[in-house]
Amino acid sequence: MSVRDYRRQIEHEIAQARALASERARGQDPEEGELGIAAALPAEGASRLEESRRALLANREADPRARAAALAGLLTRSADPETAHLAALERVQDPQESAEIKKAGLQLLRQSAFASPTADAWRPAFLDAARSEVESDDAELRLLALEILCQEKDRFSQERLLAGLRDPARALVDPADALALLANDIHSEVQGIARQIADDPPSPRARVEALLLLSADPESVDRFAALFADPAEDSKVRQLAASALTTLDPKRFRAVAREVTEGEGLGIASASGDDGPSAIVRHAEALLRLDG
Amino acid sequence: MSCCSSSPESSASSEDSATPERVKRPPAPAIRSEEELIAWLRDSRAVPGRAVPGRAVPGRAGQIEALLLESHPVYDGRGAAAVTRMRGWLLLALDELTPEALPFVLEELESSHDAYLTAAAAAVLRRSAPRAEWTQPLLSALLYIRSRDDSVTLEAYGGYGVAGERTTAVAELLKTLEWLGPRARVALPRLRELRREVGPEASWSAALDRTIDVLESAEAESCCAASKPAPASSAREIEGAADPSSLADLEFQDQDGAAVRFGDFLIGRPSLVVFFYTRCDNPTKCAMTVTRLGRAQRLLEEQGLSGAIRTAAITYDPGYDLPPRLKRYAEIWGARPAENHRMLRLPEGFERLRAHFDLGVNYVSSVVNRHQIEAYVLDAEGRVRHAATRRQWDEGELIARASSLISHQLQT
Repeated sequence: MSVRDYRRQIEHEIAQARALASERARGQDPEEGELGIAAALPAEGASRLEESRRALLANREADPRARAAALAGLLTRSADPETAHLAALERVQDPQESAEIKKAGLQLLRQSAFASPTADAWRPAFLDAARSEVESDDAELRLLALEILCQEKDRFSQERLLAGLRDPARALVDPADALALLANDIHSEVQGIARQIADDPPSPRARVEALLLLSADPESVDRFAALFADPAEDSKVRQLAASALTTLDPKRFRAVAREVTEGEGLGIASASGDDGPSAIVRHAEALLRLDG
Repeated sequence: MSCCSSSPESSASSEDSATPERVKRPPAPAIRSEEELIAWLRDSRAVPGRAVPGRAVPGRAGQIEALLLESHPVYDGRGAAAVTRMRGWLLLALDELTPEALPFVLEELESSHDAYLTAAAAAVLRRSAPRAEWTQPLLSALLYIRSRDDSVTLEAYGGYGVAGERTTAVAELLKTLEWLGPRARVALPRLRELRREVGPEASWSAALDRTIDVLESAEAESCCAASKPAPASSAREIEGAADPSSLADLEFQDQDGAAVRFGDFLIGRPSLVVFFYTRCDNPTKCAMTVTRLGRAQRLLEEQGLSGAIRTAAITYDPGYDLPPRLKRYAEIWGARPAENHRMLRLPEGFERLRAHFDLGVNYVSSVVNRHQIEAYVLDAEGRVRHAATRRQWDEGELIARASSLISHQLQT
């Protein structure tokens, strides 16, 4: 992991933890407030409030949004932060539970993992709970479970995603999503597949994801130089190629950028708008300035 | 026999890692794929996880160790996840801890950030006679892996917790500390602190309590309280290393983009050479290596040897690690590049360098998929004289070894 990526990850984790802490300090869950749940619950004390939340959560006939809000309340404002995660884990592990509540549970556990004092200890159960949903019939739940696992560089989900890219009959998600998920780990086997998809993409989005994934691949320098230099290429793809080239081979970038600014600069001098060749030239010029 | 003495049954000792290089590697099995590896293990050994000593097919001794070398072709082009699957299964197939196998096991305890490999390593230790010097690696692993713990199985290929009887890295580490009994008493103060940190609701707090209880009762009954094993040497002497003169023309690029030839920089004075890459996501490997290199550079300065002993950190990933990245990585992790201390990439000819040092690294596409920790002390002829591989190394010890080469040079 590069230092920049490491810092970004830490900053992200700190921001999430701060947001959660601030929410707790306010004692107000926005979702719960919106739904009027807090107002509807008895106010005799924290334990009664918690009981009411548990009762609401246990009531499968209740509005799923209200149940999800009750679950959020249990996790974020529990009197006992060391056991707060249990309610969410139980919901996610329950095979009879609805996809809505499982999604809410996984999201809450993901957030709590940054702030809970006992997160280390329940991490294995949380990841297992996510693994049990990678084949869910609910596409959103499936994707959420895979997101959680791939951010942890989980080998189980990587294996399933790679199998799906090699054999579409085994795919859990569409190729673009699979590439985006596998991009969480540069050490996975996805680079070779990404090259194939970049050459023969099943969709424009899959192509962009494949190129993004290859943007740190030193063996893709020629590919990005060609894309950047091609005036017929999609402008967003050319911008992506220009950025990748600055990372992978700054000298080559300067050479191609000069060609682009000289060759296309005059022809589009009067062009306006943010897309198309003028945007590419501006992008190239900006990167050249940054590059010194 | 004293409860703390070495057992004659134990074939592995920390001393083995400090003896001169004398291991004759058996020919590595000609296995080229994950499927072939699984079949080979199935046909030649007891099922991993249930290995029974003595059941290995005769004539195959040492072959698992040969397969654990990162450079084995079975790892070529495979992702880190596949490499982890294969290595975990190989570790679990070790039915005894030979001196050659032990460093692979301790390496995982000291620097794995995958719960499966940590769990496998902890479990495999219990197949040998207990030794006090394993306490520290087990404790280090426990303190590191607890925030990355995961559900795993040691009974099914892949190690995914959903596929068999579940355990975790933390559970296996605690079990092994408990199994060490009185030999692990030095871990007690830290385990007690950990007990206070994790609170009673942690899923493994009961296991931690049990481990503490066992070690405390061992403390009361022990015949040799508070004995702390002497630190083992982190490096071994290399005899008959390959002649580096054929590498003299290799042209590196340093952190400032300056050209540096192997023959000019690494021949003429003793040097400390380490390997790393900036995209390494394991903080106990490359980040730690470059941090230790920085400490070594400070030691050299303090001892007035900054000009007499050079240091080089060479990237495994020359395609990606361009000079600005090398420079930044050095700054962040505390190395101090200077005239005699460089961060290097080798744009052309890396395979020659890889073969010369017999580097413990492999690749998937253009990315490293696995590497060992490795640091070498080279003499003034550029020949490798000391190697610290796989385990964490000690900068003071390597500097002392490099300094002794200067003394030797002056005497001769």
